Amino acid sequence: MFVLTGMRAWVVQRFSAIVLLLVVPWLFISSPQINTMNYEEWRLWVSGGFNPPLIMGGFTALLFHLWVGIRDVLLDYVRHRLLRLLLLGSVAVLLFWLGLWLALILLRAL
Amino acid sequence: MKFSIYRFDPDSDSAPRMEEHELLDSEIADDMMVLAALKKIKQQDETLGFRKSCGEGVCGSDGMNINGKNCLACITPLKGLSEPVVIRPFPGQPVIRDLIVDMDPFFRQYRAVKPWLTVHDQEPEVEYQQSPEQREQLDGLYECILCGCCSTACPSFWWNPEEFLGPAALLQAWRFVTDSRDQATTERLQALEGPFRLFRCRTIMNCTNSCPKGLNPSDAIGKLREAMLRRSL
Repeated sequence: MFVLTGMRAWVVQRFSAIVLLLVVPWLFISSPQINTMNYEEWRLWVSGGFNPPLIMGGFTALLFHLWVGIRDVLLDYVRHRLLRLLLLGSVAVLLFWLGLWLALILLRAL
Repeated sequence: MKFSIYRFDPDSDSAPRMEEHELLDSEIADDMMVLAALKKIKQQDETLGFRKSCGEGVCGSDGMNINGKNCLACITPLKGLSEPVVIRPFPGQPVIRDLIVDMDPFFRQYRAVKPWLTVHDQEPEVEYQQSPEQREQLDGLYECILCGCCSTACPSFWWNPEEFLGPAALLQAWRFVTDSRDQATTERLQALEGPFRLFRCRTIMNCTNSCPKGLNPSDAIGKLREAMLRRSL
């Protein structure tokens, strides 16, 4: 069960951190005017060049990184097993939903 | 010199308290250790409880928290300590009385890593042989005296003492994984899998900072992770 692994979660955390270190600065550099873009400009930027796989890859790494980080905090501090399982499940569902939502937004923009 | 010492007797006290003691300057020698001061204080108040044995930093029985740092009282010089010298039991551990804590959880985790050589082949007739290089791999590992300073300085061990093995046990796990004579490397590494036993470590290195023998459990934990990663590839 993924929630209970040690080694795999540790590797995922390191790997996703490296991906984020590379992708996040690149996205910031490549979209300096993202706050002032209209939808069409934003859509052109999202769908241009290597942006689709980079954005999807970056956000996937972010979601996995979040999962391992929040999982670690819950494993450390929530002592009650049932409550811990409930919170872990809620976080997993929330992150999965966020990933799905992001994928839908990107697919519509392409 | 002033001392503030943690006192608690679960049989008679409802809550722990800090008790003030003072030793005259004439009673304190230049090279005196904290353990010697505790012995003098015990002469004033014989109800004070603390563990001690060899008095030379070998047995590891007088581990305690002195001015916020886990150390061995017998090799911690009084000179240089700020006053009052605050002496507490190891943090996060169940107190039996005063400075004496229950070390059972610590030793339970130590035993969990099977700290002995495991050999599947037929035992050699004379002795197990190692090259000098193979023997060198054990330096910085076999010297652990199991005082508990490292594990009881580790927040992950405070939060999950039943599940996280703690730095002392993990140092011993690496000591046997890296031992060329041991043949249970796969089983040992497999036993460390899971989110708690090894991977609760956050590499904050309290263990390394508090080891009175100058060992580096944090490095050993990193090497265990590397070994597990290499094996899983």
